[in-house]
Amino acid sequence: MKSGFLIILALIVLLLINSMYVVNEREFAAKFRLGAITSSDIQPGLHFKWPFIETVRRFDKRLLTLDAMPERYLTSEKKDVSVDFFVRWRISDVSRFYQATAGSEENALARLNPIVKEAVRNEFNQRTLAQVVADIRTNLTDVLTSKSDEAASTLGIKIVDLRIKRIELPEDSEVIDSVFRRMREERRRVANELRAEGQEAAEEVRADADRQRNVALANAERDAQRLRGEGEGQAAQIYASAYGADAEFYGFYRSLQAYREAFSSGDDIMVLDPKSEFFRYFGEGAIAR
Amino acid sequence: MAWNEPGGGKQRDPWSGGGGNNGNNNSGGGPDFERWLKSMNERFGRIFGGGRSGRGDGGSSGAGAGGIVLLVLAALVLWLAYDSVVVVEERERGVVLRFGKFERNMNPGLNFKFPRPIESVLRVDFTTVRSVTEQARMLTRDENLVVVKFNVQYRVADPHLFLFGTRDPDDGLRQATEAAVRQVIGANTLDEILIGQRALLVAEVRDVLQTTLTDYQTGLEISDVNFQEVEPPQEVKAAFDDAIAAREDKERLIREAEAYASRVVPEARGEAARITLESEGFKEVTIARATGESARFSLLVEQYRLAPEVTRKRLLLETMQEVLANNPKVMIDVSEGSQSMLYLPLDRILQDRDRQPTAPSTAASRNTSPGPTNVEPARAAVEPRRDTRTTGRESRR
Repeated sequence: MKSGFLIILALIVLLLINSMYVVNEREFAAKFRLGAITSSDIQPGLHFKWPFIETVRRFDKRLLTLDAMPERYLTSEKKDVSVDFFVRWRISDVSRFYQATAGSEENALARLNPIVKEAVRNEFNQRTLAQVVADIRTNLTDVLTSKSDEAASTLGIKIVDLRIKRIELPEDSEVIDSVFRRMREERRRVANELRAEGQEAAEEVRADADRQRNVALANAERDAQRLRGEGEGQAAQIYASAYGADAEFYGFYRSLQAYREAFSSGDDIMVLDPKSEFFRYFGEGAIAR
Repeated sequence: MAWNEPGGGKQRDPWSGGGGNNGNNNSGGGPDFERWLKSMNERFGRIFGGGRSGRGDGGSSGAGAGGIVLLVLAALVLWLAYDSVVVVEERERGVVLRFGKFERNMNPGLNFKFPRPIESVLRVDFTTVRSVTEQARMLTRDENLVVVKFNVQYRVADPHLFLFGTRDPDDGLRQATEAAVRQVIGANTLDEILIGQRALLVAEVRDVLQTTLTDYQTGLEISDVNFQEVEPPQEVKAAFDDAIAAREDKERLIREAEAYASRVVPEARGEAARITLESEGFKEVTIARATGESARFSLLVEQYRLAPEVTRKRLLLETMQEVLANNPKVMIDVSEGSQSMLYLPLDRILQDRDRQPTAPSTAASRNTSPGPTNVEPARAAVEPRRDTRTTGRESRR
């Protein structure tokens, strides 16, 4: 009798347990009766259902992330880039989501992945690398988000955001090397330009300094000559006015001075004729003149 | 509607009268959980021991089974008590769910709640500053590469959103940050990034990030964004450093030229001044000399006019005396009759002159020295050292 009670009690407990369920704040729940959804908008809290006949499945209500591995895409210039993006999505329509994926997130991601990649591929094909990189100006992410959202709505999924984490040039090709080469060349050009500008400016400064020096010296030379000329002119005038008073005497006087100066070295040998005027009173008998 | 205020009061706990007794106290404040437990207890008692009264005395089978029940009940009660007390640390906040549904927040301190499965609490590290640091090589707007190291610091702003908005908010923030930085780097050229104001970049990233996070419902807020490194990639660093060096070279070249100029121009001015002053000096000297000499001449002319003949003679004789006194002389009488060859050993005379600084005079009278060559008949001076006929003897007295 007791074991019977036990069994009945256990059954009752089981029934009871199976007729209550809790929905967490971070979940949706959908109630199924015999495999079909009866209600899908169940709020968090404690709820009751028919045991065993009705089952409950839970779906994450939160914003979820799809972070795919980086993949290569082609731009419109046929440039090959490796893109790493992520998608923020949530389940918007539980019943449609369940119908599409049987409630499995793995399935959902597997279905979502190609949708999103397709959108990315299309958009990249229509843009140059420059446009893709500067997507703030071309609204690339907005377009991607809305396009993939449209496609994903069949899965009961709403795509809230699609953003690109990295756009990278492929590591295993020469593209990166050529970018480096270009950067180096550009820097070299800048360096050369700077140095040349420096040279040019320095030359100008030096040349101007030299010019100033030459001008100053030339002017000084010119003034110097003028002053000397003035001095000599005035001196000549003074001489002329003084010597002109008695030109003949000046000739005599100046000649005497010249003789004196010319023979001042003391090395000059003079051969003299005793019959000259100087020797008038010299010798054996003064010659009476 | 919290069951107790922060700061911990034990005044009003669900069991109204101390934590976790068994269900003996039963004032009106307790929920029907109490009654449910009691009814279960009674039911158990009825099944295993045939009524409460039967517990004390009794059949051995009843007592043994009842003891197990008591033990289980005691353990249950203890566990319930343990699970009803929640200590929230200072840096945390708690979120209480009743049957999964959000009920209330919990502040730091001692709190009480219904035990599971009725109420559960989730803790959120609220005040600790979290940080994300990343380093990446990114493409700029002009398709150049730059290496960026950035750091974001953030905190939980809304625990509710933090728990229920996004599945992995920290990861989400990290991804959003990377995307924001890439967007900002991609919107600027390499020069703008390297040379421009870093604060502008930070502000741009912050804006983008803020907007993104609001959409994402992460319940996080940014406290700081900064770039720790913004550099050209290692492979081209040498070229970039050289460009910087070139800028400095340019400055240096210009400075050197300016130094040259500041030396040369004043030097030239100094030189010019010297030239001018020299010539002024020359001018004055010339004029002064002219004045002096002409004054001397004028004074002499005055005296000369008074006695011209005498003055002339005097001056002439004085001059001749001085001239002849200082120089070696040779007197040669060339009268009409004699055609003798005179020999003048001028070179020997010159040599002797060099040896003796005083000036001896040499006189040769007529006909005394044989064979001197006839050099010059008139009163004239002979240039020293020019005569070439050097044979013969010298005569000297």
